[in-house]
Amino acid sequence: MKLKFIFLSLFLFVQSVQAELYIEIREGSDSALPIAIVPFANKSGSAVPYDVSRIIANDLQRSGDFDALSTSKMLSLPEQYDQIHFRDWRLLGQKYVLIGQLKYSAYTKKYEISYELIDVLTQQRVLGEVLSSGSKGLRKLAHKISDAVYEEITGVRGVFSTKIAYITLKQLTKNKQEYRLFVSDADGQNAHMIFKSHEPMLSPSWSNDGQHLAYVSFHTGRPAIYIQHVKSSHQRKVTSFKGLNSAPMWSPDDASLVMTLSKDGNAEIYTYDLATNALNRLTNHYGIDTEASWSPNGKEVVFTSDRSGRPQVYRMNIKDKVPERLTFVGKYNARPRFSKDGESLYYVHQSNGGFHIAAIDMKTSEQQVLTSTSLDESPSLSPNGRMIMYSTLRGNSSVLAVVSVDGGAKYFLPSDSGDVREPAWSPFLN
Amino acid sequence: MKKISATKTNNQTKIALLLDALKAIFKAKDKRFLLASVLLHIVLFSMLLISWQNSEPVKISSIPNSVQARVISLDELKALREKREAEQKKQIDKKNAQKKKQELKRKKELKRKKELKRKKELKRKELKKKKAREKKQEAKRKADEQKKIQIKKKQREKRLKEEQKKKEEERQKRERLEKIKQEKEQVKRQEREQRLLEKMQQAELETQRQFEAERVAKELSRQQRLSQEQELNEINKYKNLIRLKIKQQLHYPPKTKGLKVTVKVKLFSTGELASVTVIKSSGSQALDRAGLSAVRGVVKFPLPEDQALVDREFREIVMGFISP
Repeated sequence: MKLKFIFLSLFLFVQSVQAELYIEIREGSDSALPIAIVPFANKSGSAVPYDVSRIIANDLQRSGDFDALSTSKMLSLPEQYDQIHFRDWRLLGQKYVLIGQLKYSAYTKKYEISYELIDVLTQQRVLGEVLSSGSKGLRKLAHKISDAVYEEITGVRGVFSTKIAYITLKQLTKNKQEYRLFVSDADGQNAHMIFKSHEPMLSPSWSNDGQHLAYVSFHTGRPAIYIQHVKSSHQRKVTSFKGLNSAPMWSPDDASLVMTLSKDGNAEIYTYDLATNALNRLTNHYGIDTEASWSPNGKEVVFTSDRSGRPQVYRMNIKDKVPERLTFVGKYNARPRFSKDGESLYYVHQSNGGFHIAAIDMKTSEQQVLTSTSLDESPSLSPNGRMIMYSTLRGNSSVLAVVSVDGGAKYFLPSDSGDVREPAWSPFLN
Repeated sequence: MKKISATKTNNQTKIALLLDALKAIFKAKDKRFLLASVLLHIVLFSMLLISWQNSEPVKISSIPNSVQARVISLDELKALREKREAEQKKQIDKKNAQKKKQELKRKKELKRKKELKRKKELKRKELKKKKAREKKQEAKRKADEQKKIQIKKKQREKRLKEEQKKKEEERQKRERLEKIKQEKEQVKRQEREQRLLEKMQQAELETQRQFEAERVAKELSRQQRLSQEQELNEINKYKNLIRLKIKQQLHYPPKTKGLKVTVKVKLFSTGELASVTVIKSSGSQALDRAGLSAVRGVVKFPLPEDQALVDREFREIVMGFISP
């Protein structure tokens, strides 16, 4: 009897479970998440050197994951929680509201920013913090808030506080030009030069600790690979073999570099142990093998090779050194970069008479062209794997551009430094 | 004298007889014939009277008797003589009497004629009156008769009509009865045929019933299936509408590809959200929050008009958000 009752209860439970309607949703809105960044109330008593809330709104907007509401469309500008009219924000279709205040302490000579992120639908405070900084650090604070908001909502760490490195070419005179290596905030602001040369500079690459940059410079008259400490600007030559010394890329553990050398007569892929200075040749083919980068786990490299007659992307395990061709669509596929999860590969793809940034799914081998600009080159993935920065031709100048990995968000980084090339996105910087 | 008296008596008797006859005649039922005969006699008598008055008096001549001889005795002769004499005397007396009588008769006749003329005149007048009366009577009679005839005719017509009516009624009744009879027969025949037909159809019906039962069962099943399909279509329709609404509100966080959060949504019958809870986390707080937020972002969920269907299917919905 007891057993029957148990079975009956179980049956009724199963029935009740089955009776519930189930709806599976695999698609989301094509639009970005609406968020209102209310201008922070200035309680400092004087003008603030940076519009913090504007920087935050721009950061989130550029990410492609958020759609920041224009201030002119806001029905009110609450400074604190109890001033929020949730019905208004809901009517405006906003999911979140960010409010904040900015104060200045004459005693510490620092600005204090307090902010709150409110979920409009639940009317709950989901994030809040008080940060302080000097006036020069306000921009950094703004990026920090952007990162926190981005991570709180998306679960993905924001890259607004990261840096980018890039090389500019400035024509000084008719016969004199200057190559400069810059490091700036991820939004292109706050740039400062760390090295310059009248000879070409190529392929900057951030170490994974964010402390060093490896790059190729011809400033000695021949190509050599250098490592430079970003803050101290201390530079160290790594390789300067005869022939090509190019395309250095830090291994995930920063213990070695993968690079292209032609010291043996042909452009081949090598790894270079930074501790022992040992080289390990990975490729051995009469075709040109170059532009190698590491897989996230550091066990594989992908590179460009024309061994098939045309530049295509190959993969190779650094132990067995057996190349595997990965790209088959198009005549030109080069400069591959793994996604952070290793599931996608981004590279330069030639199609429709132009060079574009494309992605290939490593499982399905489906290719997606992400950009519509032409002469795209040097893709570099953001540390959170959400954005790709690359250089492209805009007008008569080369500029930096960003595209989201799904191709949804695109923007250019303004520059007044001439041609801008060879971007490299830093890792997270603490 | 006696002889005359006798004759007179005889005549009176005849007249009496005649009168009796007339009376008898008068007693006759058919007065028309009586009247006609009287008139005829009157006419004849008048003609006779007229002709008699205009003719010369008739001369009475003695007609010689032929001699007949017979032997008779003296007594007889004497008797005969006496008789003859008596007879002669009688004859003379008679002649005298006759003369007197004739005179008297003549006077009487004259008187009678006068009287007769008077009577005749009177009679003529009476006759005229009578004729007029009779004519009137006749007219009246005729009118009465005509009236009677008319009445009779009417009666006859009425009777005829009644008879016709009666006949018609009888005919109709007969026809009705006949019809009823025919109908009854028809009904009986039809019943017989029907019974036969029913018997004939019984077997077929039995087969058809089986087929029909199967068909009905199939149809019922089909209708149930259709109904279920319709309901399923309705459910799917609103599932899609809800999915669309959710989709508009859903912003999958990055880097959650393949992760799934399952939430239970409770709705009011109006389509408004009662509650939403995570029943199986995706492991990503962002995705869990995105699912909840998407549900909360729908102001009113689209629901079918059928409240029973809403109560049965849509009051509690489990939603699985699988990040693409």
